Amino acid sequence: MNKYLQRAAWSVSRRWRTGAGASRGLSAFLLVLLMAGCAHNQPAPAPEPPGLKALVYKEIADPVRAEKVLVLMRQTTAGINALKETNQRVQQEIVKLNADYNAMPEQFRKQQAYAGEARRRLRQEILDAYFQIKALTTPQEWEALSRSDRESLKEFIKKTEVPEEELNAPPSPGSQTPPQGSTGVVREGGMI
Amino acid sequence: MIIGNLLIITSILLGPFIPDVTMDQYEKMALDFDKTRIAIRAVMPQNTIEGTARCKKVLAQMDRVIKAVEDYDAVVSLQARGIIHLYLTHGSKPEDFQRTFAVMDEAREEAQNVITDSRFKMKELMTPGEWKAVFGLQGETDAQRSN
Repeated sequence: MNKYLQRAAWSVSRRWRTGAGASRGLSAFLLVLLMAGCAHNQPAPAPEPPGLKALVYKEIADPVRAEKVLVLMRQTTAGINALKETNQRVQQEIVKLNADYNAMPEQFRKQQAYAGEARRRLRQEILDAYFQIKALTTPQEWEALSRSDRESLKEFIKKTEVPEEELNAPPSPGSQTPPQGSTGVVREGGMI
Repeated sequence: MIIGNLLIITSILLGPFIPDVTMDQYEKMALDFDKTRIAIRAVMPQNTIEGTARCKKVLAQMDRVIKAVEDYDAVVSLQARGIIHLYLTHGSKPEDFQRTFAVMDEAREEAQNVITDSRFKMKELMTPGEWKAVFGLQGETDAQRSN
């Protein structure tokens, strides 16, 4: 993957730490998806990123709709935190199991199954909230709310070591195919 | 090279199976496969043909694990582009995400199976003492190696 994904995750992770970007709750969502349910030591996102409320109320004129969006954003943050905690807990268990010479395969499978189930459930909850947010916003509002994510993603894409032609290349027939349209953004050049 | 390419995504899958990875190191994404190989060679006697062969078999399992992680990583890196796009596109649909997740989940499960299988093959090739010296918890391993 070269550095593409690594930079994405680091970029978003750094924004968590610095508090940059009012919509970092959404960035956190992206990071969790990118991390694919991983369990490395992620910095905990704040319960509510500073400036988020102001941004939402600024971009969404209707206060009722704005409040709903805000609640959903908090839900995504809660889901992300829960996923992070689960991952860390499972990782610690697997570290202990691996150290135990006499650990049984079933013990590993149990932990992996538990993590997989939690990942799917929490991912669904996060996605549900995410799609509700999008349903409550117009494309313009969504673009404004996710602007800082776009900037951050643009930044790492510029720095990525992945050659431009590789990013633009459609997946080979034998490869795992990304979802429809997923490479369109790259072809269009700069939508992200 | 492998470390640079695998760091973020694979620390989950592989991290718990690599010795001497502290939580701080996880954040820094420091998974050192070479260090693991060195640790294996250090604790497994290779002064006999049998010992050398045994050590090589363990290292072959390590390579198998790393290959599984590389394969997983290749799938995820491809899917990640799709996820980023979907995330930023107002018109993206849940099923688009689900398709991507399904591919990633399947790849993760395959990698997990290989890693777990190799872990137990390595265990069969190593004595409890050797295992503890290489894969024991941080404090135990340090004490063992200093003896």
